[in-house]
Amino acid sequence: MTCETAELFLDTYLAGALPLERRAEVDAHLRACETCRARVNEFAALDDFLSELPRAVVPTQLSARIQQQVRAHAKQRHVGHALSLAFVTLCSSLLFAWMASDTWDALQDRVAWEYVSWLLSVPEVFWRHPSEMLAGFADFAPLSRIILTTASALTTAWLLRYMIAEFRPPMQRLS
Amino acid sequence: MTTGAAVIPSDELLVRRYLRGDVFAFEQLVERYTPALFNLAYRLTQDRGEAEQVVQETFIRALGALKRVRTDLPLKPWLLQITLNLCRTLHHKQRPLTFSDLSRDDNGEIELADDAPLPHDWAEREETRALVRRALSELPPAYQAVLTLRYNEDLSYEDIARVLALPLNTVRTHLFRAKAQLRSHLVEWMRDEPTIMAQQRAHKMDE
Repeated sequence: MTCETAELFLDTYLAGALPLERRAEVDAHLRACETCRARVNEFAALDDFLSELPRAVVPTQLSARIQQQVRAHAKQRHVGHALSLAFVTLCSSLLFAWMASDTWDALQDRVAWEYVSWLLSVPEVFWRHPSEMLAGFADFAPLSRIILTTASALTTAWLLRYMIAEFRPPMQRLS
Repeated sequence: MTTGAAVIPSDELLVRRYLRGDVFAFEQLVERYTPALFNLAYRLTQDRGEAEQVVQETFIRALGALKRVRTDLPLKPWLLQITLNLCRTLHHKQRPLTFSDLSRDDNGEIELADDAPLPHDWAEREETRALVRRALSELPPAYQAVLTLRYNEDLSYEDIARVLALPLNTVRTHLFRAKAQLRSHLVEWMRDEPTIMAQQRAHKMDE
């Protein structure tokens, strides 16, 4: 082992964190090299001095100032988040209202209900020709509209749940 | 038997509490890590005002990024890394902080450590502690940072490598060279010490 390689491991050697095999190599080098031996002793003492060195003195109230900033920042993010959530929920509710009113109007048609009750009376026909039966139903209330109504209702409900969680007061400090 | 000692919540627990909406948990982390982050920022910027700004910005960034990090990994190296990167950005134009080629001085030549021996009783001398402190503050900021991470923050080599985004062997080399340079300062000052002492005595007599 050369002095240069030994230097690379001196710090880890002093920390006692060198794998056994490598440690033996460094030991062998130290036995042979007086300069490195002296260096190890000096570095060991230097390590002690460095470990005792204090940190830079923190300005008074720095933590408190940062905590205040963090609180303001968190509040700002919270308000921003809540507002965008409220906007999206409103859009989703409007979409639901629009879709639902048209679907409701279509379903008000007496013929539509007669078709539905006929379908229910002969369920085996439905199972035999499902696509044709659904197409017949779509003549009264287009299927896409029903799907969109259901989807927008589910989305609105999901967003409302999030809104409630968002506007709930923050948890209190645990003592 | 129960002891009256309060249980200190782990970083992981505090992070999880913050993610559930408890801002106070994050404030506890601010309290816990401000000294370490300020120390590193001060070593790198050598300016208390700038260091303060960097620490504040570190926590604001962490606040936004916590949702995306793995809570099971240690928090301290991650925060130190943000601080270090902010210092790098801050100094990018005025005084770049380079960690990769620290061994070369301004002329591009490799610095040679002073191989002259230290006085045999250097470690026992009263003034040594103060000299080590002064020598540390005269090292290049990047060397100070490496020593800070190792000795003040007690980070493992792996964590230091992660914070500095450097290979493990480079970290080892930096630590060795930082200490070699620190030692050179001590050799130089202790060699000049009789002259300095004489000058101080002469100065006192003049007064």
